[in-house]
Amino acid sequence: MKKLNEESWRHVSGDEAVLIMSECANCGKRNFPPLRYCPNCHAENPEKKEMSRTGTLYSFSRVHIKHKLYPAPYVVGYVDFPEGLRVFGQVRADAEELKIGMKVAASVCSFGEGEEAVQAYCFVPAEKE
Amino acid sequence: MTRPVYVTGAGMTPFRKKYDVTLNELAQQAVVAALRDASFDKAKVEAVFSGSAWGGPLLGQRILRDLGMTGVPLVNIENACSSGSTALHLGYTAVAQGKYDAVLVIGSEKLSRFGSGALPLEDDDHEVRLGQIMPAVYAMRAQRYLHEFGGTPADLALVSVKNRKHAGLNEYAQFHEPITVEEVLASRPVADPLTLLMSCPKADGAAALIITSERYRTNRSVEVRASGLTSGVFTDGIVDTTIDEITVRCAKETYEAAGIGPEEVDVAEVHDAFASAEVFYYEALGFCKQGEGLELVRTGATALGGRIPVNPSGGLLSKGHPLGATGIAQIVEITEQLRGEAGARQVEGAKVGLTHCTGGGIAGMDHGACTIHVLVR
Repeated sequence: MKKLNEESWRHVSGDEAVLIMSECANCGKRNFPPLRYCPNCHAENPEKKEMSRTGTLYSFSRVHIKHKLYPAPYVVGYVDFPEGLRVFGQVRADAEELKIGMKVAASVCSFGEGEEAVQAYCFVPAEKE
Repeated sequence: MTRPVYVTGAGMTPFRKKYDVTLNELAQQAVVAALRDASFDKAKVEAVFSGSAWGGPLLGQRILRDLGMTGVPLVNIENACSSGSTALHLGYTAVAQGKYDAVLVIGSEKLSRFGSGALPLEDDDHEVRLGQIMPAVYAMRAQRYLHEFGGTPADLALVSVKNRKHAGLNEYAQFHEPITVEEVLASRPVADPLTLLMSCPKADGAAALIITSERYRTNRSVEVRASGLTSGVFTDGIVDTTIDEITVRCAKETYEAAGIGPEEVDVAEVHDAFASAEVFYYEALGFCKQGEGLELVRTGATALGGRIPVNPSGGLLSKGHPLGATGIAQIVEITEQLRGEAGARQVEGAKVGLTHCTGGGIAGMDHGACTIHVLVR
């Protein structure tokens, strides 16, 4: 199945995914998604590293406008990771379940059907510890 | 050394859902209106700056060919929603620096070509591929703002209600009928907490200005005291999105250049693409402190008759938002206000006006571009 934004995540097992950032070997700057040049010092092809599996939901919205790939409504959010990076993605949950500040985990979601189907990372509420 | 710059002529078409004429013809109406407004001889126009987001190649030449106004330097400009105001910035700069005494600035757009729904964004953006759209960008900021500072969607609805009331006094606006908070909240959801009536409608429209030096100044000219333009700063880090960084930065630079502070502004036209955005901009432009924006709209401070009327034209929410035309139409409104020619929506005694137009969605930036103009009479 085609993967969206393939350079920025890896399937682990089951529904689990891990996000991939770049970290500049020269100056330490981190970016998500990984960049070709470090925006700080322009070092080329910064090192790619796996990020933490869970982050904190900074904000979210349920979108009611249909998208060529995504049936409405779908939920999007920004998730803050311990690496100091904020990541945009869809959140697989009812908007009513979501609260700003809650923990969410990177996951794999499929969209569309047949030849049109694609996979991407998404977020799901993290299990309570 | 720079020298004073004036809006000497200003004109626009009404903003409407759809015009059955071509974009070229629509923009011609605005150009002729601006020339007539100042009884300005077209032969005196030394250069042209034409802004549009989706106008296509050589739009300025297409507009001006049949008006017999080509044969001078002509630049076509794209900067998303700030395309028109960016054209003004370039025209302003050229006159201020002494290159020309009179330039024509045009902003025009036909969004009816896209039909309904959110505007298309470029698919090479990693967020856009995952379903990011402009309403969601604003909605997530609004959600976070309400979380941090308190307030409800009903407070946001007050912005839509206020701007629609203003629009009832403006024949150039697309919508004139008053609306209530209940109607705003009950309208179709777009991206929670934003509803359809909290979102600016698309529109077709055009606006044009004759920008001059002292040489062609008349008793109806209004001075452009400062013209600020900047671009978004990239961050994918953890930042506070409840304050609009690009507007704060552009405002600081523009107020400094003008030698005028926010407390001196009598009337403002700001980029209310969504109801929540207008509240953010009250704070970013310094009309109140961070977290106090909703209070301004609750108390009527930003309504006509209030301490600092914002969007007396009806704003993008009621006029509609033909991207490239918006920034120039804001200048047309402020010019009328400062001339004392705004009729029923006149802000009494307005001497200092401000326009603010941000542009575009791009991952990792507040906005792609921001323009602020300070005008004085």
